[in-house]
Amino acid sequence: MLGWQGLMHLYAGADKPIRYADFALPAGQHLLLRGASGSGKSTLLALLAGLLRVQQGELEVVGAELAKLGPRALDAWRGATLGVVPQRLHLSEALTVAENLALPALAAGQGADPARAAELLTALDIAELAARRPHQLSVGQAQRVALARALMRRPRLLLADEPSASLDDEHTLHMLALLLDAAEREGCTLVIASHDGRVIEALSARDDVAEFVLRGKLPTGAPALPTGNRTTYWSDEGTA
Amino acid sequence: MIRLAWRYLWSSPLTTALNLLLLTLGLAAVTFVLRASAQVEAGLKRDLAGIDLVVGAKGSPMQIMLAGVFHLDAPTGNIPLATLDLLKAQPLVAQAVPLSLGDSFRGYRIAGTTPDYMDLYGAKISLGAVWAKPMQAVLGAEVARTSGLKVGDHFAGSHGLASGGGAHDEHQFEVVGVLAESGSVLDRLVLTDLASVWEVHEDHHTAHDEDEPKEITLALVRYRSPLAAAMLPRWVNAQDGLQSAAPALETARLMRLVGAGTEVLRGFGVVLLAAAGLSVWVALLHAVRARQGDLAMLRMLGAPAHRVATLITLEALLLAGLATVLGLAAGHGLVAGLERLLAERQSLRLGPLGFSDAEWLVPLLAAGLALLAAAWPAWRAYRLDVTTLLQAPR
Repeated sequence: MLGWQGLMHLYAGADKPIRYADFALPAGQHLLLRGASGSGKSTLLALLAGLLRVQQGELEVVGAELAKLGPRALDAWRGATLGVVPQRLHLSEALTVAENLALPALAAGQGADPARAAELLTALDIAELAARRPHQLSVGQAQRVALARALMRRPRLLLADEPSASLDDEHTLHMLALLLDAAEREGCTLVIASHDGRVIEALSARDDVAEFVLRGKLPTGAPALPTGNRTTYWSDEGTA
Repeated sequence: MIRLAWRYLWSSPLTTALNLLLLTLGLAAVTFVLRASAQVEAGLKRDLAGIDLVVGAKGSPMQIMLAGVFHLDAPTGNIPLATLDLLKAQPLVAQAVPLSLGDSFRGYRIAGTTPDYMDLYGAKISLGAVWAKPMQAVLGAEVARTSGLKVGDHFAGSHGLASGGGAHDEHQFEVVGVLAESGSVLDRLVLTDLASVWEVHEDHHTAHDEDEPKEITLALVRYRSPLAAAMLPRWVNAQDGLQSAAPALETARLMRLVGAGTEVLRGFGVVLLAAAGLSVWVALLHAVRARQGDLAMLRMLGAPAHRVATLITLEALLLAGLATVLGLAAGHGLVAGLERLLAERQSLRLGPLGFSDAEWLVPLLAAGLALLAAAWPAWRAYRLDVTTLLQAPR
């Protein structure tokens, strides 16, 4: 369902490509992408989201071989398959919460689905915030809204980029619980990209989360973070 | 999509309001120039009413034309009544209508003439009838409306073409008819028999003047053939004391004079529009930069690049659409104000209100400007690097 083989990406002007060790996510598992800044994590996320073209290798995401999709098809695939909760939430300040939730349908050229928006807002316990503007929300509320937006089109893959950034410990755990609950409820695969020790620690106890570690610029021999009972895949060749 | 563009547009209300104001002012200036020129030209053409030549006393042809056709200036003097017969005898002349001016009623000119004058304009009597004898008058529609005079009422003219001259109280005109509103110069004239003017002014003449030949002020001539345009004016000007004025030529000259002012106003409108276009361009560029995250998110949510670019273009087009409506309304308002001002001064009546053909340029101009201003920002939005969305905040 999610995996890659011989995957590499070379940025224009860079002297060497980022190579990713071959990987296949076992069925029924979620994925934790772990790696420090510059390890190639953002590049892998962009490749998974179809925002960067696959230059070499094979990348299969939710049954689609992304290398074979053209730009239009990639856009349509992304809209229909992927839900993203970015590190900066990018809720539109010009719109209310309800209108922000209408954006996925609008992006796909479809009509808004207020019933689905209401359902998600209720499930995430923020139904009363529908008419508010993003600047009127707390950080936690804004993250729930961003999660609701990501789930609007019933994605099969939910991608959360550094979901614990700027959150305290309590909110970090709460956000992780929200993401895992949402993934379970919606029946989608969750991919969390993080280098936050708290996230790694919190997910270590779960056996339904596989881990892919991008070493990147981490010095050789750096102490590995505890892996608990996870399946851990090391991308030894990873470099930025 | 349109709703989203509208919301984005008004997410910076001050910037949008300023751009809207600039665009509206520019479009209003252009609308005013187009509309006013068209209406002035229509007004002038309507008053020309097929008059090919005005013959008056020696003087400025422009003055003769303004006095004889538009009734806006004082005539250059009088000419002998015999001139009329002389003109009628010319084979190139189809019709020659006399006009005798000199008095007014509440600022409206009293014109001594023949019923042929009304026929020139295709004027219809709405109440009463045409005069049958001297000292009977037919009122133009505006004169009747503002004076409140009805058929059967009497009034006295005052000396001179402007209000405030000495009254001819002893010579009372009887209103025998009222003209239907035609929008032409006839609306603001009091028409009477040629002999009425002579009768009113008999008192001003001394005894020995009574033997002097009768005079008229002007003769309005229609040509029998286009050949007359080349020959008749020359023949008239060669006559002692006569001056011809070709209204078509003089009107064109007048429009050229007015045109200088029009050009300045049009230039002003273009400068305003250029400033507005630049301002919209800067605002959109800023919006694309400020909303980079929003736009990238749309792309992330599956919007094709062209849809994001369309969103930016729509913002500009919505602004242009709004400015077009406001600009056209403001432009028409200004023309209506000008028309009221001219009416109050009993000056030229503008052509009928409504859309002129040239006015369709206004929305096209606005849309063109919006597309031009939005082109580069939309291209930036189209080329947006969505991967920045997945990068850590700086």
